[in-house]
Amino acid sequence: MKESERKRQLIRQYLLGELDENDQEQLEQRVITNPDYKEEVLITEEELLEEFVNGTLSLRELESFNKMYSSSPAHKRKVKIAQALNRYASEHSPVVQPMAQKRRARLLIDLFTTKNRFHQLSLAALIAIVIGGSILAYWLISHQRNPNYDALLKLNQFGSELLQPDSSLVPVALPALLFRGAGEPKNISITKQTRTVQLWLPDPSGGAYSFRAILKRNDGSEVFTLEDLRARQIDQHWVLVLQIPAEMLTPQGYQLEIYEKRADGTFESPSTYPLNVAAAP
Amino acid sequence: MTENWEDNFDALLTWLDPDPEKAGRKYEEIRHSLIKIFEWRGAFDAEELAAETITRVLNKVPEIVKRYDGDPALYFYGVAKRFGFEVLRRQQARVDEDLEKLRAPSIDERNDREPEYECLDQCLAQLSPADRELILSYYQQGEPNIDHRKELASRLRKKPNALRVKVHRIREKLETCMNKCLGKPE
Repeated sequence: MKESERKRQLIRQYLLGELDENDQEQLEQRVITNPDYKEEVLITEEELLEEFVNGTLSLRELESFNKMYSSSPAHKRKVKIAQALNRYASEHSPVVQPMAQKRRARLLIDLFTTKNRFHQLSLAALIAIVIGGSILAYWLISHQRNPNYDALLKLNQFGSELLQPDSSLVPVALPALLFRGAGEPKNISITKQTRTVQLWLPDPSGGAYSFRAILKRNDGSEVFTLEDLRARQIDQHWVLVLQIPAEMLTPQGYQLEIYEKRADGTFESPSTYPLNVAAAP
Repeated sequence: MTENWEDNFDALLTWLDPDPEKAGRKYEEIRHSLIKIFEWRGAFDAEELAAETITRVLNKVPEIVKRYDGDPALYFYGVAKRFGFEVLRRQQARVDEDLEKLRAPSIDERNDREPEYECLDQCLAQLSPADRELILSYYQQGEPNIDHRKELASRLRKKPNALRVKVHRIREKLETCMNKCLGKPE
């Protein structure tokens, strides 16, 4: 490992609270006496925040991060600022064309401006085949896929927007994952205006794990399966939020199974939540 | 401020550096470092702990300058360690585990737009166009993309680490602006 990598790794361990007291003090003494080193620690902290927001921390680091960055107001604010910056950059980034793409663009332009008649005709035929084939493939695929399932995936992918309340959203609080579901079925009333049902499940692990969610009808048939779901930090708490297009639900009983994923890729026994969907006027 | 305090403060600055301008910068560096260290240690009010540390050093400056031989910053650190970290240990004993009270929030509670996003929008507008474009380009991808950032550094004729530092300094300006906009964290 290069020296710079080692230095960065040590700083990450410090920020994640993984160093012993002696090593912490040595690092802090360096911070207070060496402005360049302090800057390096600050930059490494920004990178750690960015990795957290993008969901690329390892499970071990995520657990440490959750412990360190969910307690003090300053830490919580740093996370919120990082989330805001990430979201803003995704929504407002300037169009940046990397140089490799510019070179490829140049090559394509040269190809299309060739004066060789044979090449021109061959190219025209190729383009026609590609376009025709794409249209056919798209038609075949779109007629097999469920648009609601696409919407479901988009609503629940990592970093997706938490829908804000309005008349089209039905929020539903469920018992914490710790309590494994249990209890009476939760009633969910859907009106004609409802577009999304939003299920909130507190995650006492502090967002340390990922989950699989399976929704089944009471007759056992499956409505959907979602993988690699992660809790979101909302105020001081970690909550697994499931956003379901209302069109996927009809008035009947359901079972929602939530499986916690272990470090070795296998799953714990599920927490099962009975739900009762009813149509309201 | 008492005359004694002012004398001590002057003596402190002289102890840091005979040049008043350099002394002022060193003082600010030390103060900023203390705040950061307390933050990284999870303090609820890092600025207050840093201020208290500095006050304790200030009260002892007449004795310190006679007998202490070493980097003044390390003296500050020693005081922070003896006083500040003890306070932190007591603070960290307050653990908030209120899962029972968590519920799906009502429509009224969730009607507020995220204030961080709104402040960020305002603060980005205060940056120069070049800095604004740079920081948004740097963070534009969904995941940290090493190739994308190497391309960006190459286009700007900077080494990757120099770009990293430049973006950090722009981000620091943004965060200072955002912290003012958001007010003190509760």
